[in-house]
Amino acid sequence: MQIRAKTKSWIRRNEGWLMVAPSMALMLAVGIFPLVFSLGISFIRWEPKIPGRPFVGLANFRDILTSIEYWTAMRTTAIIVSSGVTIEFFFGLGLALLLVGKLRGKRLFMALLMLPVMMVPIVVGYTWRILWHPGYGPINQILGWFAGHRVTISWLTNTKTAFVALIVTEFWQWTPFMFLVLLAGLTSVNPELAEAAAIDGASRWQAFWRVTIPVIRPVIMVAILIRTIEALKIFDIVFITTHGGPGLSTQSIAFYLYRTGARYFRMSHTAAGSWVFLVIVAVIISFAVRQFQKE
Amino acid sequence: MEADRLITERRMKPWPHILRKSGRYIALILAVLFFLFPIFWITVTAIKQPGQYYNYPPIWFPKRPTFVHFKAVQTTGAGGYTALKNSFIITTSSTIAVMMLGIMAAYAMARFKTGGRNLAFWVLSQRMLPPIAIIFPLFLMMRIIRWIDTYQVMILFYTTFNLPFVIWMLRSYFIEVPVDVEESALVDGCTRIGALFRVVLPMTLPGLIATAVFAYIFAWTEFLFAVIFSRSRVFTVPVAVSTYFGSEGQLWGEAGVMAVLSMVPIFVIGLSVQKHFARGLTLGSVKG
Repeated sequence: MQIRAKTKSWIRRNEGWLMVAPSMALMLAVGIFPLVFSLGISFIRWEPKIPGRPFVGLANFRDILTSIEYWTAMRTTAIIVSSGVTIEFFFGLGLALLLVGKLRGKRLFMALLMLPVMMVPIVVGYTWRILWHPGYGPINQILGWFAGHRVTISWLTNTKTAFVALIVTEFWQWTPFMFLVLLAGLTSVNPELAEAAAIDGASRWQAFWRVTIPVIRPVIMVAILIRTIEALKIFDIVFITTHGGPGLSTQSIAFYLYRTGARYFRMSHTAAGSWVFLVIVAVIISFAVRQFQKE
Repeated sequence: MEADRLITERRMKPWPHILRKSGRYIALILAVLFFLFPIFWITVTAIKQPGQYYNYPPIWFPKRPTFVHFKAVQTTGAGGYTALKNSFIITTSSTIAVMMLGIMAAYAMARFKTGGRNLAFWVLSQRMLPPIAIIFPLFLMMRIIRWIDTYQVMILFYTTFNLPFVIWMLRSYFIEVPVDVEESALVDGCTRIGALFRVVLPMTLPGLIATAVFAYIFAWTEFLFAVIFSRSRVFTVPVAVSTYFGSEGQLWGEAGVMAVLSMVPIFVIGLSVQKHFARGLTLGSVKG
C-alpha cells in the first residue's frame, strides 16, 4: 500500500520529465548516438578494401582537409546558399509587399504562390530538368521567341549555366517560403506606425526603411536563418538535376558526402567530412544567432 | 463623417492610384505564372503521347491527351502504385506516432516548464543536424538489427526527425492556452490527462491539425533517407520518381504521372491549413 502511494507521488512529482522522456529517448538514439558513433568512425579506417578497422588517428581528417574535391563542394554549397538565399529574400519581400494590405483575390494569390513549398524536391528537380532540356525544353523555346531563332543552350552540361539552373530551381521552390514568412511578419505591423511617419514628413520609401523594416527585423532574421540552415543541406535537387556535374562542378557538400559513403563506401571519410562540415556550420550559425540576439 | 472622408479620399486618388493598383496585379500575375508554369508543364508531360515530348517546338497543349502512363507507372521502374502505398503507410504511421509523442512532450514543456529553455533549444538544435552526418552510422546500426528496407525503419526515422518541429509548434500553441481555463477543469475534478484531452487539445485543434499536416508533408517528400534505407521493398514515392529518370532511360511520361500523383494529395491537405503556413515554416516563431 505504502509503496503504491510512494510510486504515485513520485510519478506526480516527475510527470513533466516522464512525458518528455519518450521523445528524448528517440532523439538520443536516432540523432545523438549516431553522431557520436560517426565521430568514432572518423578515427578508424572503415573501407571494404582495407581489412580490419585500424585506428588511423587524424588521417581521415587530414585527407578531407587537403581534398580539393571536398573544398570545391564546400565552395559550391556556399555559392548556392549565399546567392540563393539572397535572391529568395529580395523577391520574397517584394511579393509580400505586393500582397500586404487589402487586395481582391489575396487568398487565391497566396494559395497559388504557396504550392512550390509543398512539392517533393525530387519532383521539382525532375520537372526543371525537363524545362532546361536543350532540345525539347520550353525554356529554350521561350528564349528562342525573343532571340528570333532556335536556341539550344545545354543548361545542365556547362559549369556556369548548371549553377544558374540549380539556383533558379532552388529559387523557384523556396521563394514562396520567404514570401509567406515575410507576409506574416508584415501583416502584424501596425499600419498606424507608417502613417505616423508619413505625417512627420517621411516619404513612403523612408517610412518603409525606417519604420517597417526595423519592426519586422526579427522575422527577417528567423526567415534567413532557417532558409540558410536548410539550404546548407541541399541534396535532392543536385542529385536529380545535375548529379553534381558537369564533372564535379555542382557537387554540394551533402552530395559529395553521400557519394563518398554510398558509392565508394569510404565511411570514415564521410564521417570525418561530416564532422568538419558540422563544426563549420555550428560556428557560423552560433555567430549569426549571437549577432541577432545582440541587436 | 465616415462618408465624407471616403468621398475626399476617392477624390484625392484618381489616376496614379488606379495605375498603382493595376501594376500590383500585373506583377502578381507574372509571379503566379512563373511559379505555376513548372507545375503546369509536369502535368502536361504526364498526359502527352509517348514520343510527343521529343517534339520541337515543345507541345504546350497536347491535342489528344493519353492516360497510358498512368498504367505504365506500375509496370516500369520501381512500381508507382506500390510506392504510393508504401509512402501512405510510412507517412501516416509516422505522423500518428510523432503527434502522440509530441503532444506529451510539448505539453510538459509548455505547462510544467520541464527542462526550461535549455531543453527547448536542445530540441531545436536536433533539427540543424545535417542528415548526411548520421546516415551511415544509422545504416550500420540498422543492419545489425536487420531493419534495412523495412517499414519500421522508415517510420522510426520520420517520427524522430519530425519530433523537434512538432514539439516546437505544439509548444507555441499550448503556451497560448490560458492556465485559468485548465485550472478550472482541474478544480471540477478532471485529472491532468483529462484536462489535456478535454480542454487543451480541443482548444488547440486547428494548430494540432496544421502541425500534423506539416509532419505529413515532410515525411512524404523526404528523399535522402528513403533512397538509402528503402531501396527495393518499401521504397517511397520520391525514390520511385528517381527511378524513372535514371541513367538507364528517361521515362518522361511515367515520371510525370508520379509527379502528379505525388503532389495532388499534398496540395489538397496543405491548402487546407493555409492560415497556419507561415507559423509552420518557422517552427512556431512567427505567428500566421
